[in-house]
Amino acid sequence: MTEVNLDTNASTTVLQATGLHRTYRMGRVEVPVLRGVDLQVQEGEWLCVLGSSGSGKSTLLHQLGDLDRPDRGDIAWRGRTLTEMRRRERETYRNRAIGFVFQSYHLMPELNVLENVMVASMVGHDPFAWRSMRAEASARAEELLDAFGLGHRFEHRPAELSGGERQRVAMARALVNGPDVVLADEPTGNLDTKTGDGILDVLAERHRLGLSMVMVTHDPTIAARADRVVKMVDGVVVEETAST
Amino acid sequence: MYALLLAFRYLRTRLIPLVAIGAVGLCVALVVVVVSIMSGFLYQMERAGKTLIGDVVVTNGLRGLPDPEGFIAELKQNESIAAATPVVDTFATIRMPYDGVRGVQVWGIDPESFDEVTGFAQTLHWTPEGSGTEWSEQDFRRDLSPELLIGLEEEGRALARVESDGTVRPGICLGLEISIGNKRNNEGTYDPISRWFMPVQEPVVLTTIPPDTLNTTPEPVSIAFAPVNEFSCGLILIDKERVFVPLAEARRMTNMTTAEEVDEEGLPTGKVFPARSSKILVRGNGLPEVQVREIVDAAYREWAEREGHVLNPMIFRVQTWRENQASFLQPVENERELMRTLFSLVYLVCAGLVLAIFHAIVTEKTRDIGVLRALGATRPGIAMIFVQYGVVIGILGAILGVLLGWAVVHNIALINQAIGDPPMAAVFVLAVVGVTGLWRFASGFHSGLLAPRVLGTGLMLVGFGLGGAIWYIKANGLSRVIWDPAVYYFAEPPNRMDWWTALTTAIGAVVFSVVGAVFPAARAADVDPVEALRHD
Ligand SMILES: Nc1ncnc2c1ncn2[C@@H]1O[C@H](COP(=O)(O)OP(=O)(O)O)[C@@H](O)[C@H]1O
Ligand SMILES: [Mg+2]
Repeated sequence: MTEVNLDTNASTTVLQATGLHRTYRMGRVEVPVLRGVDLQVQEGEWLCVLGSSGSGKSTLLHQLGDLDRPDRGDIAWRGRTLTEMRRRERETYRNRAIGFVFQSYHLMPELNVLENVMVASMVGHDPFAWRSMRAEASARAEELLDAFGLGHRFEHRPAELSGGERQRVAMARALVNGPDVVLADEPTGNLDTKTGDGILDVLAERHRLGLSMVMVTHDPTIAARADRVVKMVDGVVVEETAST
Repeated sequence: MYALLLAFRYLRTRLIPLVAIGAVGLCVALVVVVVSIMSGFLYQMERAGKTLIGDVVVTNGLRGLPDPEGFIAELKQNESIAAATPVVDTFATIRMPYDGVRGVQVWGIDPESFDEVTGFAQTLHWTPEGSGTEWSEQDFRRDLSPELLIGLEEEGRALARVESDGTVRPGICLGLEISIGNKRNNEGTYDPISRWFMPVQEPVVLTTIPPDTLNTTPEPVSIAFAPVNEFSCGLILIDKERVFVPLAEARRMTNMTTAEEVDEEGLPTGKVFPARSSKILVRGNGLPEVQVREIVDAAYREWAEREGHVLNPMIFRVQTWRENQASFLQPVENERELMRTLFSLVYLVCAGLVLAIFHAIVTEKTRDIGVLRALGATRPGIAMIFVQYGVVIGILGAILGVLLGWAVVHNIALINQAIGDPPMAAVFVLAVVGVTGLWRFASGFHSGLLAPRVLGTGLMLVGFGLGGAIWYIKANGLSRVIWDPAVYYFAEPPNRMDWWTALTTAIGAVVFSVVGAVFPAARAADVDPVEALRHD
């Protein structure tokens, strides 16, 4: 499949979902949420998945980020499917290839800002490996936080930050391992418009520097900033317009 | 790495883990204190028991051992043997100068060799300072003339008194607790009541019925002894039961003297039975007592065979001092092991505590766990957070427990005294606690909040209740000493730390804290990240 894209527009497919099915069972009731989702994310692309609340956007992101497994269908990262990956590889995939940004930030309250960012880097390395790269990781974390305007708040706890600041920390955490794709689940959903725009500006800046992004939202005005918008309807993804 | 970081952070920002550490610490301290005191007690008993026994004891029932002097002379040729001495023991009634009569255990000894084996001279009480038992600050012996004490020590060491006319009288050395004239003081030494002390009193009389007299009605034997000294070996059980007399007198009291064989008509056959002794005590040259036992056993068997003495294997015994004292030491040792086993239950308390607390923390931290999984953490990695957390709590708890245990064991005498007779300061502290409780209660009443009122009530109950009780006890003179020397054989409760137990208990606490952490850790590892992240 990668070859196909190389043929068409000289860009590679970073992430590809094919025929994803996911059904939740609540007792005897079955709730089919994904019913055959096909999706491609190109290198450097900002893809927006638009859908009403409860349409399965989060479910899709969790599948892409390997937090949950599809009942049917598969996901390929640079041509390699998750099912053929060993467990270790999948963990590396989650740690290095993917960066998650959540609607409600999900920072760890006991850790300070810098540690919240660095923890993503710690997770991927055993204590001995981490010792040797600690300085590098911390430099990278500080650089990102600086870039996001949090240079003077390393020692602060998440509780001492505003919503927008927390989301910036969460973005730094998602980016600290230099992922291929950032998966952002309504990153501005908990923020007022102005703060949310600030967050989108930061993401847009990263996108300009070459970051691939899958962002889900129910807000069409946000979707307007993306390279490409798809819509979730009845458990499948349909193409919308291509903007910009 | 993150596991350790989070473990420490969860520790620092929460109160419950500190409670867990405290609880684990208390559990460890409990075991350490109980077992240390029991071990110390055992050690004191062993040491005291050994004081008057030596390394190895040879016995042969009531018949005793023939010609012990002959055997000892030969045994001492062996380089591994430092000293050996015959002992005749029996029971007798003693008549004290103050007209008291009671039963005592009589040991007939050869004072010089007995001292070589057991260090008997060091247990003599009426000696110049430094050569016998220890002196306290205001010891009565400071009032006695050194000449008198030197004389008494000589008499004690010889178990004989030379009268002014030159006659030598057999001496008796009594356990310090036998005479009603000696009263133990708070410092653990003795004061004579109204300056009355044994050695210068009139004779005491021992009366016994010798066993095993052939075809005759047993005739009681009474011998008068000059009380030459008293001894205190540190074990009250012995100090209040035993007296030492010269070997020859004890042999007369037990028919263990040299005897001539008689035929059916009662005429001497010319054959002479040598004098006997109830036991032979042996001290080795620093060898382990088990080795000394083997040497003595082999030597005795060889000697007896050569001399034509038939040994009854049912009765003849060569034992180490420990084996000889087993009936006395074993119960204490068993009790200690029982305690150790019973108190090992505290490990389960540790595990249970950690389990409950970690269970709560895992539930509370579900979202963080989901985040970590999303960041690529493995299941074992997540589990490690809580296992390491358990290790940290276990180690800190164990350290706290050992320190606490050490502090208690080290200051046990003070604590014993404080419990027996609580200082007034405790009442004041408790009063302050009570007043604090009252204040909390009042402020809770004011604000309408329930928690301060409950806390205040608790503090008041503890402060006023306990404080009042102590005050009542003190005011009415009801306080009493917990560690009563008369009950526990020793003047002071043992304050030796049992480091081996401390170590094993500490390790046990860590292990069981981890055991308690394992289940919640596994549960944490199994947290479904999607579910966890839906927690908003
Ligand atoms: N664990 C679950 N059990 C049952 N139903 C679920 C579960 N997770 C999600 N759903 C259902 O799946 C649907 C899609 O959820 P979600 O992906 O969160 O939607 P969106 O993010 O678009 O709002 C919803 O109807 C939701 O109730
Ligand atoms: Mg959602």
